[in-house]
Amino acid sequence: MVLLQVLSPDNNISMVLFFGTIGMLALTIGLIVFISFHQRKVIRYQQQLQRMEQDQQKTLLNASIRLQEEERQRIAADLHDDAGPLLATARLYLNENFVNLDKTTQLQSIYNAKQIIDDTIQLIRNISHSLMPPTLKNFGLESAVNDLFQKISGSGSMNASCRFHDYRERLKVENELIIFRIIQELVNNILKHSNASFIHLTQNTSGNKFFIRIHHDGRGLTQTDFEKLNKSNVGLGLKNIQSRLKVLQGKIFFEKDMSQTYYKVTIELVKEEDNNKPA
Amino acid sequence: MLPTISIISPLLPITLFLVFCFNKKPKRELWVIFFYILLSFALDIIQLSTRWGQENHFEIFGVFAIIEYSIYAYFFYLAIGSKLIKKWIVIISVLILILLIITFLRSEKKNFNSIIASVESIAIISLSIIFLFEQINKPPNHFIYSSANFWIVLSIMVYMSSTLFLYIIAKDLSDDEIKKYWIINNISNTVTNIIFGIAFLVFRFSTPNPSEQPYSDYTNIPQKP
Repeated sequence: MVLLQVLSPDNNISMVLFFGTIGMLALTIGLIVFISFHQRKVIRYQQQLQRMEQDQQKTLLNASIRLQEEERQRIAADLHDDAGPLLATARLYLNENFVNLDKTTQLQSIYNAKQIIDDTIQLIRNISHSLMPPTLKNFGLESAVNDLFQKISGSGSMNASCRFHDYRERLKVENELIIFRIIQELVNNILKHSNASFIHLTQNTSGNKFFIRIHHDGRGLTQTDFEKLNKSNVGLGLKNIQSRLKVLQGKIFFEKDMSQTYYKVTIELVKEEDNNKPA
Repeated sequence: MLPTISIISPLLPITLFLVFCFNKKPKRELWVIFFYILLSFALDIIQLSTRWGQENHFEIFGVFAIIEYSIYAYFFYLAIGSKLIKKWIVIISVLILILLIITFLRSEKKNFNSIIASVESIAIISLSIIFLFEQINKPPNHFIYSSANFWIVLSIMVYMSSTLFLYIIAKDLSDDEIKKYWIINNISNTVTNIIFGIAFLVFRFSTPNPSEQPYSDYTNIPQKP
């Protein structure tokens, strides 16, 4: 009945009512449908992001565990292959004293045993220093990095230098250790893979940001290479760097210098208010 | 037939609420809508069954429109999260209520009051759009249609949008024409009550039972023998 009224050309009110009602209903339903679909899309996208983040975290955790195990194996190998035989040899020399009663021979055996024990002490000291450098704890990041670069320069393999422009107040000890490990890892990578002849590290502060830049003239990575390696199964050290930076809420950027002759790695960290209190 | 269905349609959401939601500690918004449905049903019965109701049909409709707006405004005040929007709802609702009351008192009460009905409809549609806009902007952790409030707002929007034009031109219609076109209101009312029922069911089945969350109730911890 309503439709017949609408189709009648004389009844404007019916037409207004019919089309008005249909129009309003169409707008309402259209709005609801749009909102529902839009929200579904947003939720699906968020779920996808969550899954990707979980996968990334799993990869980083696995890399961290693998690295830990490798480190333990290396320490175990160092102790077993180097320290163990040395101490066994020292024991042999000392045992000889029970058998050989000749004083000269005894003194010689004790002297040999002492030499070997000295070597063992030095070996264990080196293992300990590689685990936790005492310079870092006692004198801070600047001294520890200086030490590291001096050792590299001293070995003659390349020219290594560093300059801290604005490090009057030390960061927290835990944070200094993390930054030191990152620098160690980056420097190790440069030594192993880049074939560089020099490496230079600078430190700056700008506002509440703490920057460390490493320049070298060998084969380097760009940011694209870094991200690709991070997603793949290789690049354990880089994944470790990524996990450590996450703890500090920092960023890392790999690039080739503007002059196209150097590779540059920039580490950016946020300086917290209470960062300066040593633990 | 259709007017009868429209009058008894509130029984569906009332029954569903009492059976499924009453024991589940429903949110205040659902109680507000339940109260509104009861009131609407009671007024329809009074209008049909009493002489006073039939004689003062337009007056009752005017008063109900004011009460309906107050209830819906309170529902949106509870449902919308933003404190700023809540503040504005209170301010604007007070102004609109003052306008509606003054319009009602100055009107003749012998005809359908289009101004009250259409202002109320437009205000409620605006509040519904604000609610939906807020839902889009909130970071979503569940689908919007798994929330009872969404279905209630949908129901309100369907009713208000489908009856808006009817209410605007009702003043210019004769009694016979009003009776003829009131079919739109009857259909909208029936659909609205069905969607209210869906809202109550969504509340019941989207909220997990306490027995499905054994660690949420400390009395479930076994005692030492």
